[in-house]
Amino acid sequence: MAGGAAKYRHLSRKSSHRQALLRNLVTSLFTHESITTTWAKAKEAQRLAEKLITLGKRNTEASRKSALATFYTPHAILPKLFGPLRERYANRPGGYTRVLRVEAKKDDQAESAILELVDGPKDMRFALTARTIARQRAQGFDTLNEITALNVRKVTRFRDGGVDALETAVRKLKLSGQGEKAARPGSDDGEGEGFGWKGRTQKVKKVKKVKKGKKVKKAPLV
Amino acid sequence: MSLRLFSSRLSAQGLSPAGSLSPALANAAVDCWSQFTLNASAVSQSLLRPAAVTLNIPGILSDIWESVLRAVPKKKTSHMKKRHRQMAGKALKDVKSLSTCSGCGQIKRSHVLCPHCVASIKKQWGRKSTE
Repeated sequence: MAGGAAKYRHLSRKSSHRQALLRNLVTSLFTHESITTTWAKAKEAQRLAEKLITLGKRNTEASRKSALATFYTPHAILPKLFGPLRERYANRPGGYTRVLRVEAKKDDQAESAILELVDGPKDMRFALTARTIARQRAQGFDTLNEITALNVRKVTRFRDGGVDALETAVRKLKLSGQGEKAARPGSDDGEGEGFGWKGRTQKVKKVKKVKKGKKVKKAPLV
Repeated sequence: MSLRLFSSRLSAQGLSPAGSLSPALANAAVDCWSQFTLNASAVSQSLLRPAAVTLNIPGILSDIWESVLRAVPKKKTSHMKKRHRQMAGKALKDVKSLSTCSGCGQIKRSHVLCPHCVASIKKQWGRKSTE
């Protein structure tokens, strides 16, 4: 094929625009530890972010210079990259960032994703795993299922005091009563009602409806 | 012009022109042809002429022209018809890959984080950062 296979996503932009976009994305990522964007942009920004953390771990004059040239607010980020982040990922052999799919945020229903720095304060998988464990304990199950066990391993493996941190997070959830919070998915929504001729196209709405019903139901419990 | 046409038709049919035409015959011919051209009003005479020479049968010819001219849609395709045709096979798909969220027990799409859990966790983070 002319031009060969694409080695990266062009994101419908010319080179300079794409470069600026990715620099913006990683600048935000390192500032906030977690960003939500479209899935394709997240995957592209992930490549760059991983390379930047590698620069931080390398910690040479040259790496400092190229990091300086990448960020839009280098003076706020460089100390963090060459300080806490370098220490956080010292033992981790790559995989410093994580992309998690979330429901579409943009109104064109483009696939969205969360791009986050692993083991940071805004580690969504860590928080969700804690939630799952808290809920299971609230229901009286002590054994974790396969996927939760895998997630626990992912979340605690390279984290400083990982198991303890997870345990604390679970306890906190228990205290604030979020483990038991979601009792049961509602059977009260009257599914199948009023979808007659629209049924096929309204499936998404159906899910939303379920959510709405849930919120209303939950409000008194909180 | 119609006279000339008529004579050429005669010759094509193998009838001898036999000297000059009688005035009555000529008049009748003029009438006949003027009628014919009136009927096939949309066709220019220049188009008609060679066809008449080759096909020789003006009555049937006019029928053919009629049918050719009328082989067009009678009505404009309505907006509804057009949209139905163009949207055929493009209906939204059902979301079938659903699962239960292990964090809150609500239904969520498989391989996608539970929007409810994500929202509440983000809210907590927001609270923490303001505290």
